Amino acid sequence: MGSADQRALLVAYLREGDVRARDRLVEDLMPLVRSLANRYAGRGEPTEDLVQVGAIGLVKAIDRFELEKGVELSTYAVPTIVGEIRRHFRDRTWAVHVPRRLKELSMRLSRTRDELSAELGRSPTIAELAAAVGVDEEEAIDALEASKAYAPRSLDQPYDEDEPGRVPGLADEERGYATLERGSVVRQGLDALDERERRIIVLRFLRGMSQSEIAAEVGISQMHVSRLLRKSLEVMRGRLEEPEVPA
Amino acid sequence: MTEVVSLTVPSGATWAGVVELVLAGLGARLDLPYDRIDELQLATRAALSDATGPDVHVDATANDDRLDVRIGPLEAAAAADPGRKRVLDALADGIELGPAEDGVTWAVLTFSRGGAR
Repeated sequence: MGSADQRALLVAYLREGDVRARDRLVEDLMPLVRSLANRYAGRGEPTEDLVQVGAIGLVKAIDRFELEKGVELSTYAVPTIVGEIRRHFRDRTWAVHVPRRLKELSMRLSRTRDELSAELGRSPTIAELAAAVGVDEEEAIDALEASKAYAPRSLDQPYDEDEPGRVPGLADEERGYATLERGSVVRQGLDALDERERRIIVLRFLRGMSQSEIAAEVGISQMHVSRLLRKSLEVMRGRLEEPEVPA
Repeated sequence: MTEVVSLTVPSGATWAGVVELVLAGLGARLDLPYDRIDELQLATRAALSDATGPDVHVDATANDDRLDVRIGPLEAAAAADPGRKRVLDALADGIELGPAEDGVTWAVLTFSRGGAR
């Protein structure tokens, strides 16, 4: 697709709200996303996960593109895509020392878990996971526990510190959030979270979606959903235990 | 067949991981799906964070197709907080949260093999 075609699609999307135009742009620029994701391959994260987070960066870049600036979309999008991939790595660093063998097994289990979930149409059991990767159940449990040392990013870091765009798809969940009484205990806890965490909490506890469903909806792995849920509940609890400051 | 595994650990986050690891092993023996085990651990950690006193007791009763986990003693306020109850409700297939006959607050979390989530 030439730059004139891209520009026509950008006009259709940004000025007329034609979402299909955005989808075509995403499709057209996915090779760029893949190429950028490949630069970060082999660093412990599945390349397909990097492509997925890069695609989120691409969508953000399209949403924020300013037609008046006169730059190519691909030029504009690269920093956002790379930023999203780098953020993904920052989100997923090992918080404690975990032996390399366990890290590798943990990553294999994570991939296998997603594959088996898709194949079976349900979450696999530990026995099924262990058999699929050729280890015994205790080893599988060890590695799955180790994966919890994969820390979400620091608690005081905003979701999108250098890119103020909103989380895609947040609006629906925000409506559920808004139904919570202002000042209620749950609302106070939710107020302590960033947008993505809040979205995941609302999807899980207010809309009753399973972790796997949330993973599919948000575009991250189930294990990442689990980690974010865990962290969010801790943050909410911390907020609720803060002493009240007199007005 | 019913089997009971009982643990007593010091209160505090340091030991919550030990309890979670044991429950993961029990869940695996019951063939609970991995996401149910994960939420069993999440619910247990949430309940453990309301523990009061120097030690917390965890009794896990493994039946043929479900695991009941009794955790306590907990702060009485935990039972009165609808937010906490909501979290446990969403994670477990069944919960009981409140004072037992001895006046001590316990949480009993039930996770079934055929649970909805």
